Amino acid sequence: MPIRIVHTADNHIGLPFKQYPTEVRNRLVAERFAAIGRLVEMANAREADFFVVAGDLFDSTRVKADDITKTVGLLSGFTGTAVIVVPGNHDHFTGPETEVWKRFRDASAAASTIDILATPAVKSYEVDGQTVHFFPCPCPSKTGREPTIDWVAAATRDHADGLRIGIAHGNVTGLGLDAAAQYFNMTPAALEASGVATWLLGHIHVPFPTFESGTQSPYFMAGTHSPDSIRCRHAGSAWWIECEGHQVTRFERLSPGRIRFARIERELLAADDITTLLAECRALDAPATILDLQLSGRLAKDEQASLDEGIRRLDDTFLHVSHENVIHDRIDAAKIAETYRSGGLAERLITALLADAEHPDAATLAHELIEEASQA
Amino acid sequence: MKLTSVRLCPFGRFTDASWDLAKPLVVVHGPNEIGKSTLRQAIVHALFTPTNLTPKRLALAIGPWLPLPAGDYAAVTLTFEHSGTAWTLEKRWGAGPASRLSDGTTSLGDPEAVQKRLANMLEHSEATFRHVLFTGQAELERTIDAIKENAGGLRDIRDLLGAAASAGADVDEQKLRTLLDAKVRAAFSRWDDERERPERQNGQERGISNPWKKEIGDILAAWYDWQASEAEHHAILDVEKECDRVGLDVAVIEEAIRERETFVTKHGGLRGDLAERGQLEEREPRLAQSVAAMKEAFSGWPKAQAEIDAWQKRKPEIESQLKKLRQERTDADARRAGAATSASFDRIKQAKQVSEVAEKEVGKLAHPGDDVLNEIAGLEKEIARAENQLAARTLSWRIESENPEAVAIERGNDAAETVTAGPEAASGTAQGRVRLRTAGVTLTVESGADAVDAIFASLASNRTALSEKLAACGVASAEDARTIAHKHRESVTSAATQKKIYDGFLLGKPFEEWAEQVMVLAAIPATRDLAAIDDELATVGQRLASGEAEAAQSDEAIVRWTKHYADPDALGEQLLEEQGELKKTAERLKAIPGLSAGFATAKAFVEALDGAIAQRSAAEKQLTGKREELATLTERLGDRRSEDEDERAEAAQRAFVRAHAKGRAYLRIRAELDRIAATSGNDPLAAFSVKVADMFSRITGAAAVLEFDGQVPANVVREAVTLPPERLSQGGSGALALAVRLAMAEAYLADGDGFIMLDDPLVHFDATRMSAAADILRRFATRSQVIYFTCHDHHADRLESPAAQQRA
Repeated sequence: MPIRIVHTADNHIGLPFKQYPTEVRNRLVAERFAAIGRLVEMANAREADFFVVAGDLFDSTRVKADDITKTVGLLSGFTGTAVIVVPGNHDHFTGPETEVWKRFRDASAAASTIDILATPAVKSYEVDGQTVHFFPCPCPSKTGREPTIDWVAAATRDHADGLRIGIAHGNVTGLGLDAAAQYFNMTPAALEASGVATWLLGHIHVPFPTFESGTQSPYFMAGTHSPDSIRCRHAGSAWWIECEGHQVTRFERLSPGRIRFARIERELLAADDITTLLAECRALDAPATILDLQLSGRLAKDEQASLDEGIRRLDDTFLHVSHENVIHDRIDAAKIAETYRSGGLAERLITALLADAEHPDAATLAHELIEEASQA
Repeated sequence: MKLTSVRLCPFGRFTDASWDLAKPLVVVHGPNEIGKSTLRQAIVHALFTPTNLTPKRLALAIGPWLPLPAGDYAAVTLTFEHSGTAWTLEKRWGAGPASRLSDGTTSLGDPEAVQKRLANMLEHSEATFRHVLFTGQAELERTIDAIKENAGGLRDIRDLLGAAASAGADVDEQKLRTLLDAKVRAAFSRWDDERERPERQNGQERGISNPWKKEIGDILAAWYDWQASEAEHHAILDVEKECDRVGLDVAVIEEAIRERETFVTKHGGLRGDLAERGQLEEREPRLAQSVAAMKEAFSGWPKAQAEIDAWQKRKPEIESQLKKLRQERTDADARRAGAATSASFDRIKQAKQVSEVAEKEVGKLAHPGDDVLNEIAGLEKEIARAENQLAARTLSWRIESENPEAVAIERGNDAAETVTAGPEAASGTAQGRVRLRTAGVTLTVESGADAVDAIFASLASNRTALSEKLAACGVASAEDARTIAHKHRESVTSAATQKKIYDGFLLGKPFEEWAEQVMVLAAIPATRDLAAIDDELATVGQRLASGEAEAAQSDEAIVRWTKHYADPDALGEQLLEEQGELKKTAERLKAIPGLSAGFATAKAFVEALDGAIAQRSAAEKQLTGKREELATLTERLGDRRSEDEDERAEAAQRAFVRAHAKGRAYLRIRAELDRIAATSGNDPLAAFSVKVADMFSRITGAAAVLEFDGQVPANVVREAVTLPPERLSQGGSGALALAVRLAMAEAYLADGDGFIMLDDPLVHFDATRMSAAADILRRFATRSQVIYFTCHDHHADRLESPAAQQRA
């Protein structure tokens, strides 16, 4: 039988979502719990042996006690061998007095299957006669320049028997942007040279590998189980990983999330663009989607009214809609002809500006200025 | 373009109605509500409104013209003539929209293509038609109002037109420029676009740490907002890092406190017992050491005294033995020294004998004195000199004779000899002189100038003297004389040497003293050999020394013990007492709990415990400080997260980019405005005022003259009375308005190709002016088509019939 692992990370229980209205915020907060519950159910349904949280189970080291208790309750539902929780940079472990872990330990005292691996020391399990060694690399702080994985290469040599799995939290060069190298940056080469069958990683909130399933990967980035910001546009991610002997033999992406974030950046220049945009929005799962529109462009007045109406309707159906729209009155040759007499200053000015692709809004702004000047 | 017909089928109130427009001046007349405006709008829409409208635009543009109560489309067919070709334009809006433009041979069906083709034929924009070429009552009214209300405030006809049409048909450059400048200022104020940074003040940056307070433009405001957000992001990140640092410190201190707490908790209770243990552990070895020392003294004291006593008995015997041995050693030394004296005396005797023999040998040898040897050497020298002189005078002789002849020859001083000379020559040499005698002839030949005889005489004398000297010495030659002299000198030297050797052996003492010494030595007794004596001497000496040392040691011990313990009895008592103390100490130590591993003594343990308590206390103080620091940092952080601020910074950056782009767009507009201003002159309204004046003069029958301020009518002068526009009568204003409209139309339709539409423009005119205006319109119609809408029959009559006008 293969060893079966569900790998999640960046759950950020306790994330406040304070930029959203109360109703939306409550939905988002509740969804983070619900998605963990669904992931545990998936793991149980597939008879997983391990449920691994590779960092940032919590959003900070000062999460409310109720949230911790609730999380422990959900994780306690796992029926496999063990839930393995490794502190990440947001819920870093500085010692036994670290508030979040002290509370988590207290809350999970009765749950024999939950193991907090808060120190860099090998933890071994026996599953159906097979030995599995986990090499946890917890974060000691929110930021850190030194990778936490350096000790693993030597430790794997002392644990040559059985399956070896690394667990770490931090950026991986090439996967996430960490120009200042302040989030325990790891290199792919260092990960691959450490002597484990694979690494279960967390931090960047988007999954890696980028494909849905496969047979081999030197490391996995869980991606958050439920999207938590507009930067996170997947459906919520976790990995199902099967290992036989000393290696990964199959993996598959799980999607426990139910809320999505979508940002649509679009330049609107004609009525058709609005139609396309609205159709694209309608294709989304509106009641479960936080939509952010970044619209620019130039539209006729009636088109703008149509767009406004369309967005208003989206507002009624989507979980939340925000927009940063800069739409100008569209001015084109027909509009100029319709509005300005031939040969006049206005007609000549706007016609010339219309041909200037470098300043696409100049003609529109000139038109608005002329209207303003005429009304002055 | 000239319109020839129009059909509305349906459009507005018309289900299907047609008008023939194929005349230069078309007068459409009828009472109000008959549909003149509908017809006018149908023509306008046919020409300018495309059929591919969005529902909204359809509702706005065509909605009012859909037949009531529930018509879903409107349609217009317009025929016209353009460049000698007849065209048919069909348009249908709403349900089944369609556009078609055909000249009978070709046809366009695409709405945009149709509009494009129409725009080419119309030559002027929709706005030009709407605002210049199509004049309704409303436009005329507005023109009149504009002239009146803005008298003195309008700079040129463009303003007038704009004001009159209530539309942005054009704009006043100055107004636009003023507004644009304000916008540019509002955008760029305090912003250095070249550096893309805030303007400096006295060379100083005015970034977010030192921001401008006033006159901040949109770009700078957005930039400040962005930079503030970035700074906030970094500040939060810094606080987060600081939290990490302090958090790690807290963890380290907590760990240290835990370690010390564990130690103190585990061992703190033992503190009292372990303090006693510390003292006892120190005392026990001290007692043990003291008891051991007493025991040693107790057993050693009598033994030491016995050893001292025994030594005192043995010591004289050993000392006596040692004395004898030393005497034997002295004798042995004397005998060994005497053996050398005897050997020396033997050598002295032998040397003495050799010396005496040598002395005797010297006396026996004969020897010439040095003076004799000198004389012999002088004679030898003289003889050699004479012989050399003669050898230097050597003569050669040769005798030849035909017949053998005996010849006596004397060579030098030698006796004559006889040789026979014959044909074979006889020859030889002689020194100094040669004398030949033969046949009574004597031939003497001598060499050199001086006398040879003296040389020969000296030579002979010296040879004789030498022989005599040698004979006196008893030798045959001078060499022999020198040899015996040499031998004699050697004998003398040898005798002297032997004498010195002898004297040396005596070592300064007379021979007789040596002889007496040898006699004394012979009297010393015989001894063992020196090595045997020395061995025994060493053994006995060692025995004496060790006995003495041991006795001294015992004596010292007794002195020490006496000093410490007084006497053996007192020592016994003390020993008993000290042993009791030691036993009690050991028993107490057994009763006290043991030490933890890692501590050698209880004292060390107590010190460690005290240290741990002190360290815990110090660490707790430090922890309090660190926790306060962390709390302050956490408070500073609040619920801010660097990740959230990063998103806000991104949004602020987007806003800055937008503000910047907008500002640059304003700059671009201004640049284009400047360019256009520099190249203006193509405006059809440029020569407008002349036309207006002409039209106005004709309408008013030259009774009034129009004065202009720039291009705008400023005053009307009638019979020396100057009236500003606002003081004109309604008729006067109407005349001016019509003149303005017609002048504008004429300016645009200068080439005659095109048409105008007028909606009852003459309602305020009296008969005279009506007539003049009609005349002007008819004349206008000879160049460009005029479509005139009116609800006044007499207007229609006068326009359509010159006779009627004549009657009027």
